[in-house]
Parts: sequence; structure tokens; C-alpha cells
Amino acid sequence: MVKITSSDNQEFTISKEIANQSVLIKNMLEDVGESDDQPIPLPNVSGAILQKVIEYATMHKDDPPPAPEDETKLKTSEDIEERDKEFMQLDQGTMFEIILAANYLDMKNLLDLGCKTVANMIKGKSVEEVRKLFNIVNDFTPEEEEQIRKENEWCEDR
Amino acid sequence: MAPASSMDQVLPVEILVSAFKLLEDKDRCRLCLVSRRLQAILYHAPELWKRLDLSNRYTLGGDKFIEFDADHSKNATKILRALFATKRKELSTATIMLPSFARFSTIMRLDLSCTGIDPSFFSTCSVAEILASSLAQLILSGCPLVNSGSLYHLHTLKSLSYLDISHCEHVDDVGLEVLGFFVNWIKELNLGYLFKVTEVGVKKLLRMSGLRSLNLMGCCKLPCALVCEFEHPISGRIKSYPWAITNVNPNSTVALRELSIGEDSRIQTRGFWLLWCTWQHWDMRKLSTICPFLETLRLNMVLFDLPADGLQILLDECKHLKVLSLVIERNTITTLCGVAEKLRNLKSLDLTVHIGIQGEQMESLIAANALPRLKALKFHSKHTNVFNDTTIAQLIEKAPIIEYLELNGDELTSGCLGNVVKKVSGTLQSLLLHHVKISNTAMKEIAKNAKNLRDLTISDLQVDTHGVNDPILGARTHRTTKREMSLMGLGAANKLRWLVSDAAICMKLKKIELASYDGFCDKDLAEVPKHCVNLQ
Repeated sequence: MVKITSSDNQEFTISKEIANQSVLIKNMLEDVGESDDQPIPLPNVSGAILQKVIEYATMHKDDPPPAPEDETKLKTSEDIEERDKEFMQLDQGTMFEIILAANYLDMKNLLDLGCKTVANMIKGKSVEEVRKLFNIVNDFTPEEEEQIRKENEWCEDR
Repeated sequence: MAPASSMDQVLPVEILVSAFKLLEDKDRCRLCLVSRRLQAILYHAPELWKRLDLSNRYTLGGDKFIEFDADHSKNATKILRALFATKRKELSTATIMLPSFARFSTIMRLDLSCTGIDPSFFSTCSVAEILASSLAQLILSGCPLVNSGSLYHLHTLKSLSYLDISHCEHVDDVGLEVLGFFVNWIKELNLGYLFKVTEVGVKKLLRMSGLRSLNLMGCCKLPCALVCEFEHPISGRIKSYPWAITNVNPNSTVALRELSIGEDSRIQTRGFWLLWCTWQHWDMRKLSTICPFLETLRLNMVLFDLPADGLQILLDECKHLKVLSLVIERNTITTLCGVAEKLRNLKSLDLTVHIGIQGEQMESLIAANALPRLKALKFHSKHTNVFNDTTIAQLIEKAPIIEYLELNGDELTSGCLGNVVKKVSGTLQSLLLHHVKISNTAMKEIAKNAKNLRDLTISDLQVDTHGVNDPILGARTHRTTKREMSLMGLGAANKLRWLVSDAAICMKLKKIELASYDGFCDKDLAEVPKHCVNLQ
């Protein structure tokens, strides 16, 4: 068993196979050795988010090791498992924090899932819809906007 | 100020970039317009712009009708000039925005098929500078302004290794000479359907020492292509071609690894005529002397007077040959049986059956165990009927890796078809059935078992005499991975309605082709777009 603590000092005890899904924790465990039962501090992740991340890792603990990356294959955001889709049904803030945690903990699968989810949210939306969805303010001057529009109109109506 | 949860503020650039990698160009372009920060991220990430697709492949008639109007906003040359413009109107704001061309600094693949691109674009200094070191693949298929002279402008693309100028009708032998002289570092060349090209031009290509792959499919003026109309063979000119010249220099070998020549059998299902290529005096020995390193050879034509030892020579001399595609006719069957052992060593074998082949001949091929590497079985005529329930079962037994199967189903029972598909369900990707009687149950069986099926064509469906109901209806209940489905010659138009009313299938359908003697009415077609969201 491995102990980890969140930024707000919540302690979690998880099995080693779950802990090892995070390359960061895996490396730390290898560095400190087996005998040490000091909890591993994770100052960048809050308890609530860590809870969700552990939930994800538990769900995927029996997954086969990932296939080596095929550079020639075009990546797509369509191939999300149903259970992962459900897992990502969260408010935006939590979702972004989970993505950040996955990045920090070096959990490739979860990070990929996060990227796919973000991509799917953007897909097919108009400029205005994207701004609204992600709370982004249009800070172009009309002149700039016209210029950028000219440089990017080529792909519309294809 | 943006609220704390705004995506572009919270997530670091590298995560945003990997999410944007999953998008299509269209979505990426829209993102550029969202905010300054997103625009900057996208313009600073050339890894997001490695492939640029401006093709009009999926539009009716492509650019043929609008492109010559140079002011048209969809003009590919104009779009590209805007994209790669190095000078931009001075903006009054103090912020310096990265110019548009910067994002394409590592572009690898540019698809301009069916556009009115003017190749002189590539010799514009600023453009050449950007593209010279990165652009490896250029697709100019079906571009009317690509001609023998304008191909010269490609000489600036120093990294180009793959060039597709298929269907560029104005390119002739001079064009090939231009390529061989000015762009001679190309490794893969697709010259498919260049009707003006002859063997004189092909010979000029041989000076391209690095050329590994050459596609000459459908080049009708090649002596191979005495294109025959059914029952009216045109006796054409038979000229010399590089591997039949009598005084070929024995030292001149070409490093060619892949050669495709002839005509795709799939074209048969489109028109009223049966078309195929024939070639007389094909000399396998010369071919294997000039191209000893061939790994892939597609000879999709009828070799009328191929000597009995022709295949033997090819298989003996071209020791690296892994992928072979042949047309078989009555006289080649015995030869094929003779080299069965060599055929078993190939990686993949692709056979097209010419008219006039009998069932017994196919049986002898199966019996000689020549087909364990058979990947595709095609027919020149959909009326060629060589299999019955027993022999098709034997074929499947002896050809376990088949991916593409075409069948005339006159003598096949529905239950047998279901079993056949079940047997090869792991590999089968394309299934073409002509003139079949197919029952509801068998269709269900096919839909359920053929997990990798991407392409299903059923033509001239026979009305099931047993009065069993609609086969398409049967398929509805199962989710399949079909991406393309053509239904030709359907007996009844209402089958279409059955088909499109099922969401599970329609979601995956990308293409429906319809042909029927009865004709469809608007009511039948009305439902199609509603249900098939992925239809192209």
C-alpha cells in the first residue's frame, strides 16, 4: 500500500498497482525504496481532485499496457470508452483541474482522455460558441480580427 | 478580465496543443479567431499544421467550373497566396502578430487535388523558401492547370518524395521528361490515368535514380492499354516499352520497388462497358532484368501471350517480390498451379478473374494450394460465375487471409454466404456480391460477424423466391463497422427507406450509392440526409 497526501493535507491510501499508473509516483517510490511509509506529498493536487483521479485509476487498473504509439496513424478524439465519457461528465473547472493533475502526475491515459474531451467540446462549434463555452473574451481589434479571418477562411464550407 | 476558469488561461500551452491536434483544420481555423492568445498558440505550433488539405475531391466537378475565375474566393492559388503571404498590411496596434505562413514551416503534406492550383505558385521565392525543406507529399490529382510545362515549377520542392499528378489530363511525355530532369529526387510517383503518357515518357523517368514506386494505372496510351470494349477489341498500336526494347542495356537497372500498371477491375461496376487492359509480348525476363528489386508488382491487365515460364521467371528473378497482383485468364491457370509453391511465399496475392474462366479451373487453383496468401479476389465481369456452395467453402478454407472478396451469387445459397463471411470475418474488409439471393438471416449473420467490413456492395439483388422479407431490414438490427456501402440494382426502392431508418448503421455510413431499375422517388431519398450524418 502507498500513502499520498493532497495539497489540502488529505491522506489517501492506495494499492501499489493503482499508484503505479502515475509515472511520477512510480518514480518516487522507486527512489525512496519499499520500506519507507512516509506519505508522498502531492502539493499540486487538491483532495477532491485526487479523489477523482484515484477513481479513474481504480477503474482502469486491469487495463492491458498501452500499445506503442503509431506515428503514422492519424489521431482521433472519437475513440473514447463509454465509462470514460461518463467519468468526464463534470463541470469545466473540475475537468481542467483533472487534466492538470494528470499532467503533473504523468498519467498518459487520463491526459489523453482530457485532451479528447476538450477537443470534442470544440468540434463543430462556431467562434462565438467557443468563446461562450470557455469564457474567453474577444480581445482582437476589428482590424486584427479581419486579418486573421482572411488567413483562416480557406477551410470554411469545405 | 477573463474569469479563472477560461480554458486558455487554465491549461498550459502544451496540453492545449495536444488537444488541438485532435481537431480538424476547420475547427483549428475557427479557434484562431477566438482570441489573441489562442491565435498565438496556434500560429506558434507548426506541428498542428503538418497536413494541409485544400482539395475539392468531394465536391461535384471539383473546381473545373469555377477555378479559372482567378478572383473567386475559393481559388486555391489565391487561398494559398493568402496563407503564405510574407507581407501583411501594417496593423496599427502595437502587438506584433506572427504572420500566417509561420505556422506552415514544417508542413509535410499538401493536398490540392481537384483545384485550380497554378504550379507557378511553388516557384514564388517566399513560398519556395518555406516549403523547400519540409514538404514531402504533394497531391495535385485532377488539377487542370497542371501540365507538362508547369510541372517545372515543382523544382523548388527539394524535399518532395511523393507526387500524385494522376488525372491531370494535360500532362504528356514532355511532362515526365521535365520531372525526370528537374525534380528527379522524387521517390514515389502516381501517374494514374494520364491518357497522353506513352512509353517514351516512362523511359525518361528511368533517370530518376531514387524512384521507388511508380503508378501507371489507366495510362491508356501505354502499349499495354489496348483498352478493349466488350466484344469489340480495338487492335491498337503495339510499340516498344522500356522492358521490351530489344537492345536494352543489360547494365541499366532501376531501383524501382513498386510498379502498378493496368486498370482497376472496380471500374467495371460503374459503366455499361467492360474495360480492361491487354498487353501482348509482355516480357517478364526484361522486366525482372531492369527492375530486379521489385517488391510490389500490380499487373492488372490481361497478358494474352505470356509464355508458360513467364511467371516462373518473374518469381525467380525478382527475389524481393512480396506483393503481386495479376489478372488470370484461361491460359494462365496451369502456369499459376505450376508456381504454387512460390506464390505461397508471397506476402499478399491479388487476383482478378478475366472472363471465360470456368469453375473447374478455379478448383484446380484451390487444389494446387496456390492461394494461401490470397488477399483479394476480383472479377472483370460480374457475370462470371465460378463458385457453388462447395467450392466457395473450399476457397475460404485455402485462403484464410482474404480481405477483398467479390462473388457472383447465382449458384450460392444464402446460408452458405453467411458461413463464408463467418469464416473470414477477422480479415474481410470488402465484400461485393452480384446477383445474389440473400435472406434476412444471412444478412444478419454477415452484419453480425464481419467486424472489419468497411465496404459492402450488393448489386442486382435477386428477389428471394421464398418470400422471406427484406434483407436490408435484417441488417438493421446489428451494429457494424461498415463505412461504405453501395446498393446497386435493388429490386425495390423501399429497401432504402428501411436502411436509412436505422440509426446504428447510418451513423457509420459514409457513402451510399444507388442504382436500380425501378428508380427511386423523392420520398425514398428524403430520409437519407436526416439519418446519415456522416454521409460524404
